[in-house]
Amino acid sequence: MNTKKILMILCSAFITVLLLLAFAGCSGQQNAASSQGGTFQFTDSSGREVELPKNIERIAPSGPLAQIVLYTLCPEKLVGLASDISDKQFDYIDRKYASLPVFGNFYADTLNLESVMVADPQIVIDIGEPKSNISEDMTGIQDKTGIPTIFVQMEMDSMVSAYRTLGEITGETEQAQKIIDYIETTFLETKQKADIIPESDRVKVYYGQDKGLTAVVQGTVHSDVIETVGGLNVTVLEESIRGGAADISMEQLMLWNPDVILFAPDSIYDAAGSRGEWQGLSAIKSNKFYEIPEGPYNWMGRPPSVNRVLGVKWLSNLLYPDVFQYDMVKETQEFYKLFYHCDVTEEQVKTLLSKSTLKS
Amino acid sequence: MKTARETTQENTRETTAKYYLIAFSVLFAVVFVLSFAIGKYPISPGELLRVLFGKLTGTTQDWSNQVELVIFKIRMPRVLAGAMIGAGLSAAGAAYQGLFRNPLVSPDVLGASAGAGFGAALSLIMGLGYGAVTANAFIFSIAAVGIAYLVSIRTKKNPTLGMVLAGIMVTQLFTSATSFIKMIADPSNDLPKIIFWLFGRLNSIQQDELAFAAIPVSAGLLVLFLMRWKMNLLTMGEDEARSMGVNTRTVRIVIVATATLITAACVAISGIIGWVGLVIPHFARMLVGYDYRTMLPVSMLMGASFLMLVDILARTIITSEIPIGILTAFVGAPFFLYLILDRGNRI
Repeated sequence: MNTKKILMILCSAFITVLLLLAFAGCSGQQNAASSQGGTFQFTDSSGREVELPKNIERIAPSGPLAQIVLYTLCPEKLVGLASDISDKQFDYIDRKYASLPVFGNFYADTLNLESVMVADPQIVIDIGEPKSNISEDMTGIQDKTGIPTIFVQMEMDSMVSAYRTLGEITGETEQAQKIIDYIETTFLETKQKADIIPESDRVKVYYGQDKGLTAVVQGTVHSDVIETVGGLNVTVLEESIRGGAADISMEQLMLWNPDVILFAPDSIYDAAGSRGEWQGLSAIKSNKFYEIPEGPYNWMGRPPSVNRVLGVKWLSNLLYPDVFQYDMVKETQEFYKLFYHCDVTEEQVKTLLSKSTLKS
Repeated sequence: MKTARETTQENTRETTAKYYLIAFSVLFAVVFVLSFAIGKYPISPGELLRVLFGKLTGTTQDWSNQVELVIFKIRMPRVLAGAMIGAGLSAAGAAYQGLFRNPLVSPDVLGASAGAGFGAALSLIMGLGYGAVTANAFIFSIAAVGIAYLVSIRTKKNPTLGMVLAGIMVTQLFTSATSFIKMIADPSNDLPKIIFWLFGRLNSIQQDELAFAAIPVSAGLLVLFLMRWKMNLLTMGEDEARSMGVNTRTVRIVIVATATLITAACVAISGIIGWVGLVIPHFARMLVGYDYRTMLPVSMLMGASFLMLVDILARTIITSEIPIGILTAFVGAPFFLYLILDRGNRI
């Protein structure tokens, strides 16, 4: 036999197999709704009708945001994680969850659907901002895994409704109600007090990350907390289409002349006080610069989740101590207990806030 | 006239080439089947065969729904994509390397990847659906190469050099445009999508995307395959090829057009998977020599097997997925370095 013949035979054999596989793949397969306790029809935030089991005991998160929210609601129902929990975060999160498998993040293209299937959850939940193809995406996961997949919208102003929905689905209505009460009280109180702060008294805030000159732009999710507590983010960039983080110059920052400067965790908080180029800013000279607390997550975003509720209390207290009179130690302890199921000592809170409290 | 010794040498060469071809066909078949069998969800080879056989003969389903979903909905699209993209990029790379007579040329030398990246980033920031993202990546990829080609025809003396230079410029242009989009993209939503698109991945390729890309890729592969002999002539150089009666200009246009079509279609659905198109043709040349008649099919088989193999790693090393674009170089580069050290005289 010569090469050509062999090639021809192999090629045609291969093509035949491909075609057969393709046809086999196309033929429909029936969906077995196999769960005790029956099912119910649920319409998710993207408008999809999904049949869900009534008693949900096993849940897979599709991304880090869902992981955090579900952890606050029903940690023992998680069958896996979207992203690794770091050593630092385990100060506040129970070590026993370290053994859970890490499935990956759907919106980072790292969600391993086979790993999800191995863990055998009854439902896959995505939580967060609505993405442009959300309905298609969720249907895709559900079609490939055979596991009901839903999206629950959750932004700063839709936290309450998201927890209500999640509480109903998971059956954790009691914990959900506690969280809802906390969030509603906090936001209502903040809004009432922030609304009456006169325009002239509003504090101008700059929020920098990385080397300090990467600004978090006004209007983005990461800047939400500033606006909620009645502060003014000085980084207003018109030319930015949607507004992300933007590199700015020190000269621009001096022109903005913020009253208070916030640095992201692991930015240059420690060095800012001694660096020459930062000394032209009145906020630095008058010691009004702080680092955003982090543990287990950044209090102002990244990811923009429930951590921001405490961020609202912290920042309002920091910017307007006369209006928002909180004992941040107590507040922190209460929040961590309710959301992260974790008792933190006064010592721990003080370390957590060591770079984040008013300097006299 | 050939001497007797030359004829024998040529014969042995052809025999070895034939064996390589058979060996790589077998390798391809083995990896192809393995790709269906290996993954995080445990499916035994027996079960796999039972399901496939059951599907082919149409017997009633006596296996679980999960097993069927894993095989046909999760693994099949990515295995087929891996085979197609691996073969496509390798063949395109081999064609370009011969055309430019330069071993450092990769399939995106004329700007195909940069154009696709820009098209995808632009669509993502505009919040378009996946179909539009893929279509725009494909269109911009072809447009980028088109611009490079139009610029290059102004260079009369050395058309291939002109093409490479124009390609570098177009690549830079589109890359900076993509960077600009990244700069203005929303960091919590659009930016990660763009970054992960650029990484390159097989796991999120949809069945309809696969069908969309299969047409240009298979048509392109067929054309390249039929032009193997002409490519041989072209590698000898412009003047030599012309003296053999080849219309070098036409051949060049056809090769550029086909290789671009293949690359654009691959990159549009998978994102940027580097390295395969650059190095697989080298492996093939090292093993079977410069004759495109065997080198091209061996490249295709090798590239397909390589990408399917790396994809097995991408989905099994850790419990989550690793973007395959990151892994290709990680896996391939050390092996290539070893080959250089071991048999550098043959490169």
